[in-house]
Amino acid sequence: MSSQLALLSASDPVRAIITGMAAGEARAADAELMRRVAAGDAAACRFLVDRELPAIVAFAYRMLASRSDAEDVGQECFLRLWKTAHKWRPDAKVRTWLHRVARNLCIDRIRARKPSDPIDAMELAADGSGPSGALQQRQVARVVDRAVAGLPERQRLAVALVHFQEFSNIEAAKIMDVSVEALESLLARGRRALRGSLEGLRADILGEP
Amino acid sequence: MGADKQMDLDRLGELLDAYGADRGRWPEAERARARALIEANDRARDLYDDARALDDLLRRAGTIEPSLELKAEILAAAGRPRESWIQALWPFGAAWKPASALAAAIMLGIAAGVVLPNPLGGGDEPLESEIGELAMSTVFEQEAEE
Repeated sequence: MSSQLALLSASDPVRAIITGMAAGEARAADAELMRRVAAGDAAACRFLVDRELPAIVAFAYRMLASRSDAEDVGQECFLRLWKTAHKWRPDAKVRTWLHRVARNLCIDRIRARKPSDPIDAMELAADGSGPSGALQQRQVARVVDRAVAGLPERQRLAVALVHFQEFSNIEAAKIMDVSVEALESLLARGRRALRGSLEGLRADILGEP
Repeated sequence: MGADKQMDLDRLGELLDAYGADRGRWPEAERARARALIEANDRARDLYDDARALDDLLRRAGTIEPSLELKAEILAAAGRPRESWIQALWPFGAAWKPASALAAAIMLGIAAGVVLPNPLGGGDEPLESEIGELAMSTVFEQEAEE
């Protein structure tokens, strides 16, 4: 454990070692980080923010399709993490915990939106035309983002966790509180819907009929 | 899940539908058999290529990076005192212990007040001021006799 504690002062090598750790070692390292956070260690807080905030904000953006909402969710997740630090359970993983909190916050926001809300116009709607000709990467990204944002809530959540956040099927199922079989079903329905909505784009980019 | 499932085109289709063509996402127990089927079967290969094409599109999705202001706000919040007023009053551990002791003391005090007799007396016993008057009256009586 002591060698893991020394990792906090480094940056990239730390991430490489932590991501390569076995699950048990990662949990132990997270528990030590949280002990330091509870003790007011600024370096530990900064390390966690650097390591986890980009993923949480990206996840919230995938769910909410709004930068401001995604940043609000990211901030709320970390405020709750700081408050929880003094009673952190050593069997928990910070990344999984944060995604569970973010999931709940995102679902609350999605359900609070009026049905007529155009998903914050997705911040994507600037491109009103369909795919045609040689599309720039930014336009392609908008079309893909819009397709993902158009998925039903639970399918979007499953796709976001597995395909964008790179969680294993078991971890994603835990975050969603569903069985692995249910997760697979949601993923399959989500991907089928995406295949349909991105068919035109696929033909444009890949030159397929 | 999946360890006892037969790997055929149907199951491979389910895997590709759910997880796409990235083999690292497939359930570990089915990975080797799925890979073998793709290498051995043309139809399986088509399914795999189809899934990979969708994966390529999804990789083109946009993303955002958190702003520096957001990071700064979160780190500033980490430095703020975040204990509750109970923790501020009792920073030595679980607050239920002193709270329980205080509550017990209050209850004991109320019970004692109701059940036990007044230590200063009560009812027909003279009050303190009356005791003083009695003492003084005795002195006055003695002085009068003298």
